[in-house]
Amino acid sequence: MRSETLEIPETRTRLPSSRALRTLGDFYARRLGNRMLITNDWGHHASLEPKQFEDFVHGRLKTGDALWHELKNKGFIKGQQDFKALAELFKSHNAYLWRGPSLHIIVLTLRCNLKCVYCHSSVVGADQTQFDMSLETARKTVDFIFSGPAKSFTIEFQGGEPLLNWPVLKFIVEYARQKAPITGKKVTLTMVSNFSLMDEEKLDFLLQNGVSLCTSLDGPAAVHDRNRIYLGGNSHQSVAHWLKAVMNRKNRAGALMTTTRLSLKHPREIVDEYRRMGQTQIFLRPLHYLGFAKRSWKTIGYTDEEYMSFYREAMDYIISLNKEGHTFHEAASAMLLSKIIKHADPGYVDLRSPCGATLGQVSYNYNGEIYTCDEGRMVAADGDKLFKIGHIDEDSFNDIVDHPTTKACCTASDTEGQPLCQSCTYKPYCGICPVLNYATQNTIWGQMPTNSYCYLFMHMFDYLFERLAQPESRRVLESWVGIKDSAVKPACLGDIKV
Amino acid sequence: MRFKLDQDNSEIGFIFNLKTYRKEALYGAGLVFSDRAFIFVEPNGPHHLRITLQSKKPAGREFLCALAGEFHNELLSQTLRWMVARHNKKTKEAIQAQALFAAHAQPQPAISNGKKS
Repeated sequence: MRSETLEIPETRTRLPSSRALRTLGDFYARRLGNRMLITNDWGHHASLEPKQFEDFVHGRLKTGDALWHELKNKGFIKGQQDFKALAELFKSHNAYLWRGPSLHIIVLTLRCNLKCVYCHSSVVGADQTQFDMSLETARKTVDFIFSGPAKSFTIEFQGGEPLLNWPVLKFIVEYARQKAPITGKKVTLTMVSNFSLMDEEKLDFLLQNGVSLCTSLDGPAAVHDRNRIYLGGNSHQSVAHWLKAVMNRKNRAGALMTTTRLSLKHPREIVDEYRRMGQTQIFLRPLHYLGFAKRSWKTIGYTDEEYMSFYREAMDYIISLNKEGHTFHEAASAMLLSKIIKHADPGYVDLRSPCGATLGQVSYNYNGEIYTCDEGRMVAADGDKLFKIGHIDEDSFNDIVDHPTTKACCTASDTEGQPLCQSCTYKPYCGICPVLNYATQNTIWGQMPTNSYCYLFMHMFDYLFERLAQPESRRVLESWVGIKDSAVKPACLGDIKV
Repeated sequence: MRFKLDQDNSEIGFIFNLKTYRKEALYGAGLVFSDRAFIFVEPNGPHHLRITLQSKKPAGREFLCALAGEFHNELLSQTLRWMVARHNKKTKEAIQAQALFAAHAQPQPAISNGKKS
């Protein structure tokens, strides 16, 4: 039997002295390349050289030095923290804790005319009209949404393909627009559609009523049409046509990209296709182990490492485009950056602590069933109604908030209660998805060491912090969240070359 | 840890030392495994319990050994989770209470369509 001897380099580990500990505010640390990243619960971060980190940990920073000042202002130096300002900062990037559910997803129908290989929604055939939402259920759903606490919220039309239930979609738009001024609430309407059933009249109605439009675009036709199969036509062609039509009306429709195994080899081509279509951003999204994707994982799935390699290549390309003067960004990264460098809550319900289940978003099925979130509804489409929290005919808004499943999701997704998360450097910016934990690991708590969601975000954060430590890339990433030129150059960056 | 497989490979047992793990960890792990196995707990002296995992599906030796191994990983996970929960109790409660409070609708007068207010 072969054996291997591991040589462990000699290191000297010294714990900080008790005097040094008196100067250290709570912080998390992670080695990234040849630097140490430190973060704290206020949402601040700093990237330190090893010597700077050692001086910080052992209380050897000189009071008054630029680095000492920076770390003091960021709440890393104990006894020097401005708690009022830091608390304001915490409130700013965790604003969702004070807002209540602000995303309401209405599934107008389970019917769809496309047969996407990864469909997470487990849709039914276009002829099965028994899976459409009725006008009465639609009216009750809108009343229910308006009974919630948020003064400003979004109603998102989902499916299936929402345009297959056009009369009900139209009714909800008009009813919600009529109800908003009466209740003093601000409602934003948005529709996610494959555009295959769009026509001029529908587009006019949607744009005139301020409905934001979003479609799916997986890349060039060779990728898109193989992922999103449309037996009645060409799905890429209809997306291209209507994206252009919206632009011709001086408006803009967004697009979402889902990554399959086929996409992995084409990061640059996919980004270029988005630019060709006039998009200024792309939202790179991995597959979720839900719905049809779960069943066809062997054919279309991939490892977490493969996805991250795709993400890194696409991101490097996007950053290089920016350096050449093109305006284009990646949406998921921009949302993470919003938390990291702008200390703002981007309203991203999938990445918060506790998660958005009921407390940030609610999903309403075609038949009046209410779910914690759209992913919870997708699990139900596979026959497991664990995440059902009520019914539009039977429950009030407070009932769904008080539902045991809401509380279980809230507890399970609080990073303060999750081993590894509670001591993770990325805790101030991250979140947990109990539904994906349940779908992949049979428990809403999940087990982070083998958790895909954790792996992907951990590596996305790694990538972003690596790039933030590179001055030129940092300028690009800052521009994605509206920061033109940092007024103050972080002292910890110094003049180093990374 | 020593496991004891019964002769027809339908269950696997081991002794649980109450000085090594907390009882709360056993209850938590038992709950997580309740979809895969029946879990029997019997006293075995003052500081020990005898745990038997009986697979709900027909199982072989390999499956039962893996089941017991995973059960022990879950025991560790539950122990750590319990420690973390206790350590961060106040922070957790404050954050969760704020999130749940903000999600509640303002109190409304009773309405007539049968919904509770």
